[in-house]
Amino acid sequence: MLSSSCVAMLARLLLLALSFSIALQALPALSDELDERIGPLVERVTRLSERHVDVSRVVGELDRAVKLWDSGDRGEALRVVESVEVEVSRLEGEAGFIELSYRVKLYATVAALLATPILFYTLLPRLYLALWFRLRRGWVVRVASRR
Amino acid sequence: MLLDDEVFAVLTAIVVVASVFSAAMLIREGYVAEPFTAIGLLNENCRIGEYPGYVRSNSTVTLCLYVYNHEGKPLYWKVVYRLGSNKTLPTNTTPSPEPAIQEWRGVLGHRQNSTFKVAVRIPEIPLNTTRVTLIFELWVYDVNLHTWVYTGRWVHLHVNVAR
Repeated sequence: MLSSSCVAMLARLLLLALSFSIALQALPALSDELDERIGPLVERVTRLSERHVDVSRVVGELDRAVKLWDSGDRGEALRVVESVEVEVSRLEGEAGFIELSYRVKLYATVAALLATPILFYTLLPRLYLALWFRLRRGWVVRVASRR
Repeated sequence: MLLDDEVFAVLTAIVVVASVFSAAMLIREGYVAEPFTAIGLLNENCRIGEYPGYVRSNSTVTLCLYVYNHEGKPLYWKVVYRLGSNKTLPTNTTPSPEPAIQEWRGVLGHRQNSTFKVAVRIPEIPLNTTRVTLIFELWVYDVNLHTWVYTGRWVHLHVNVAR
């Protein structure tokens, strides 16, 4: 015969095992449904960010969609996801131009920076002399008398 | 005084070093030399310290989680919560063998962090257990493998069980 404390303990263990198994089964099922929508979008957003497209707003909206989904407001979450899909498609269309303009700006800035020492070397003595003479424009030069 | 040759040479050298350094920094902009993610556990006021020392079966504990992304790209992340012991802690490569009880997800851009309060569920704890460990693991969604991958980052909190 099992004592009452043993029975209570067994019941608690059974309850614990049941709650864990429910958690195990429920979590992946809930996650997969959202992951199927968010996963590919995150992949596309990652590709966009690699092409120097500003994706901060899109990332914020995706985060909002996930939070809405987890809070139970799945209709609104899906609506946000759909709007993000539209936005990502638009950004993908513009990504070529954005990437090109980024690279042009980057290379132009680097070229300007690397040209600075050459310009400095050639122009500084001339500028310095021009300034030196300009500041002494009104000066009278007198030859010192020889002793 | 006309421009001295030595002064001019020093000035030119400074300009050469500064321009090369600036150009290198510009080219390296956006490049992440050491990508990483981070997770932190904070108390219910989202501060470090003063964590709860006791938990009861079938109750909830309010805590705060911090997640940071420095991977150089946006991340779809989740924190998985498990209840275990000091013998079932995760490692740098493997998650805890305990079953997942709750999870929290989000999307973070590069250099972004998220700090949020969580109501941690404490399930039924066996009578002979006096001490449990709340384990929080950070997982990220691998866009190439299309699956969740454990980052090797976790935080845990040892607590006593109050009866």
